[in-house]
Amino acid sequence: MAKQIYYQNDGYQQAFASLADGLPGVPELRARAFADFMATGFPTQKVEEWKYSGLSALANAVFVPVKTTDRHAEAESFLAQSVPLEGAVQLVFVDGHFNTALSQAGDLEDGVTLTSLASALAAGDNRLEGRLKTNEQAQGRGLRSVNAALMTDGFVLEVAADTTVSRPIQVTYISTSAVVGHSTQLRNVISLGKNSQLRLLEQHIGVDTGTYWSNFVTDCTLGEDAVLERTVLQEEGAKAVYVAEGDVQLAARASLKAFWLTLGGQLSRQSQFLTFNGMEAEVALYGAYLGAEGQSHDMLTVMDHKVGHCNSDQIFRGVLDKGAKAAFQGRVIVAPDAQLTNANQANNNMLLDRSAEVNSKPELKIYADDVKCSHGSTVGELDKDMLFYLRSRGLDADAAEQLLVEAFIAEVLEEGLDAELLDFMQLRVRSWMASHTASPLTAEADGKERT
Amino acid sequence: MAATIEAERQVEEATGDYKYGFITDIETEKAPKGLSEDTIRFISAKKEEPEWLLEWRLKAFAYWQSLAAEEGEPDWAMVNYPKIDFQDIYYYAAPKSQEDRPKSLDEVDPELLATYEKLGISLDEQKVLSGVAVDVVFDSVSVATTFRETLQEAGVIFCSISEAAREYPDLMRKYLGSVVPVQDNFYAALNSAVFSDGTFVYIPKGVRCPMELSTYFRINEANTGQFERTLIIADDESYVSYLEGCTAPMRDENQLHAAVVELVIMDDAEIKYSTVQNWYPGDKDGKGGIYNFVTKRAACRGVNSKVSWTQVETGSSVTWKYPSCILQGDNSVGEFYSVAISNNYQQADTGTKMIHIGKNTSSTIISKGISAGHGQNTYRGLVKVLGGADDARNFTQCDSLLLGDQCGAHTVPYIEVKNPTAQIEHEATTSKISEDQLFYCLQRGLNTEEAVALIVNGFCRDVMQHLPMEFAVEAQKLLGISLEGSVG
Repeated sequence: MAKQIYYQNDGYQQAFASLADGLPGVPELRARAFADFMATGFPTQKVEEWKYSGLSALANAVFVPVKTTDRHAEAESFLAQSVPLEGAVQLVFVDGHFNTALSQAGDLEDGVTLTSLASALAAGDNRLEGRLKTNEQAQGRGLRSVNAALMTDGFVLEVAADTTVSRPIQVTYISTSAVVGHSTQLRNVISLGKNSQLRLLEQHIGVDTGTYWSNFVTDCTLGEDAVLERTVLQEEGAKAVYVAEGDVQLAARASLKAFWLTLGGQLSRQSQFLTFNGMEAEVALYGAYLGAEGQSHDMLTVMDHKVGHCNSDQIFRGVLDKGAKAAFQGRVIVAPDAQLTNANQANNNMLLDRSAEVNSKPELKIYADDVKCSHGSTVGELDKDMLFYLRSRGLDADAAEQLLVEAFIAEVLEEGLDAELLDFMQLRVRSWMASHTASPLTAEADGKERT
Repeated sequence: MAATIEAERQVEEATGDYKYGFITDIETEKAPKGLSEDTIRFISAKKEEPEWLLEWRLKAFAYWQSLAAEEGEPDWAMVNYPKIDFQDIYYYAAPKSQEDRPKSLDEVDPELLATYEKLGISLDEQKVLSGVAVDVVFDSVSVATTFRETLQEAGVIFCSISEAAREYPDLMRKYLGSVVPVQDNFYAALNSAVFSDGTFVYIPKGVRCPMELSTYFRINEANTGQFERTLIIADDESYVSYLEGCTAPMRDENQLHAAVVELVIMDDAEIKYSTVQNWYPGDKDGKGGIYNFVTKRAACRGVNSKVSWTQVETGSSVTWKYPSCILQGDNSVGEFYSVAISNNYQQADTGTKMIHIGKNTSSTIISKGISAGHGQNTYRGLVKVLGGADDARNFTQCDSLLLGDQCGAHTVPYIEVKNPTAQIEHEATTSKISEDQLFYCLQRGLNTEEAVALIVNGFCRDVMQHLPMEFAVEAQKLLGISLEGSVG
């Protein structure tokens, strides 16, 4: 009766045995999580939530984290790509380990605790263990368990009640290792006390030459009236497999505004599970993803309205060029009695090439009657009239296409980012397009014109 | 018009919780309970089927058995029901009067005729007044077929599927299972193995079917699974409108229904398929009711072909149904208009699939889901555009209406696009009846129930207007009846 819906790889058994001693803290938790991972394995496309991105790429080799790293110089060269954010506290992780030399901790307000996960675990922080959730504690959520078993580091950020963190926290994750089978397993834990505020910017950068696996878990707890602004720029290496998962728990009147700009990786998967536990909380999620040359971007959001009077908004936009694939799976759940919920989802996609593919599944599960829920999804190509207009103004085909794509993406960038980050992200989009798109559509248009 | 009046009379007359809940006491001839090769041989022998069809059934049965052993029943739909014991079901039941097939109404068992009378079908009245030919399926066997001669003049073949197997073997062999193959899914395999009867329609080239074809299904005999099989072929430049409607007597135990409907549409042809489904939904506590697991699919094989599914789903305790369109021919058009109501403890997981393969294909999906009581209503739909489907166009609108705070409305759309020239739009909303609208109606003197019925009918108008006249009136009344007791 049992369906074979997971990839197994026994190679991990040996890898875990040889690694286990070197990993910081919580051996029981690791053993339990590892057993869970061995029992389930990697999800195949038969698992509904992984329908559009099976992880066969990960199942065929063993990806393990390195115990230590000395690739300081390589990492430094990558840092030139990082976002210049005024006055930010800088945390830098290199190949899965916190790098003190490259980081700039700086002063933080009283009531803010920021440590690396490795040191927190080494110090034997008992409270922490309960917050390192595995698959078992977060049903059907993919790769949490393997992360819990193999996690090398990460950050633990706690903000006390009534504290506004004035400086933004900027975290840069760098993968320098071109060794096949390298993986980065990081775990971040964020908790914001009542009425506290935080701005967080994360950036993922990596080498283009090798296949490596980045597996991130970032769990957030937002207390009453807490405000979190989170921005994630994903620019992993061209052959990387990037899997990130987040669990967000919101108390009453808490607010989360999050933005994901996804540009890198061969296969990227971003899953966010958000739960409203208190009334009048708000979540706004924005995402932009650009894909080309065999890239595959997969977004999953699960918005669980457990209580009423909460708002959630989601806008995800994607541009897919030659050979690229993307999926957006959004699920909004409104529990019985979660009255006066407002939930919106919008997913707009633009296909630039015949070989591009997009899959969209905006799902609603509604068990309460006095709610306003909507979702919209569109797929289309560049508007030919708009292209014609721009061409008639003297722009060449590429420039016209670039302008239209930029405008399409700009709408979500402007919604989801503050002025300080907007310019930089727009630049990243522009440079991504310059290096990735060479659309045969416009080439075709050119050809037609000349004849 | 007579049919309309008839439908109105019948609905108005009806009182009580389930308007069509009565049981006809006719001895039926049953196959032994349970499912085995012998059951299938029994059915096939009863039907006097050719050898190839028996083999086809046995092949389907072998596949079903392997599925049942490996994976069991499909469980992905958002419905809950106790596991079905497939060995605890009768797979064949025929009215006894089948032994000597009646040539005219006079020869039909008077008790059967009385049943039709109660249902408001009234064969002779319809025969004389409405011009609708009715192929009545009473417990798996076609009992009487009217207007055969008129249709024959036009060259239209309209008969039971077992008759077609005997008389039109070439057509049957060519098309049976060509749209819904034996291996398609669990219930399609089951149906292929044990289908008892159903309707076969062939519209030849250039023929516009002179009348609307209609089949009334009716489940009688307790514990009898109904496994209808419908096959409609519209040859080049032909047109047919087909009506399917069903009611069932009140029962305590769940009854399984797994039908398969296959439509084949050639160049420039069109099929309009309308369904009003009003089987026993179970009582107020969710006890009893029909399990309705249906595979319906249309293959638009020719250029400029068109298919239109219109359904009003008010009955059944569990519905699992996705009328689909394979838009293979260039410029082919698929349409899906649906109203699904789930009241009390009813569960409906329904929607459509639009597979765009040909160039310039277009599809429209309008789905209206209404949940009341403890009902759960899910729209599950797929719009798929393959690489070669240049300039494919889809518009999807799914609206859900919630009446009461114990019910659920769910939307699970899948959009899969592999062609940049495709234009796909999907939108969905979920809401309850607006207080303002309700207030306005009440203030005009309607009571709450009437007001809700009126608003719900307005909500469903986009779909209802696609129903043929005869169905539209009955369906509107049905909406009101189905929602009785859900407000107040």
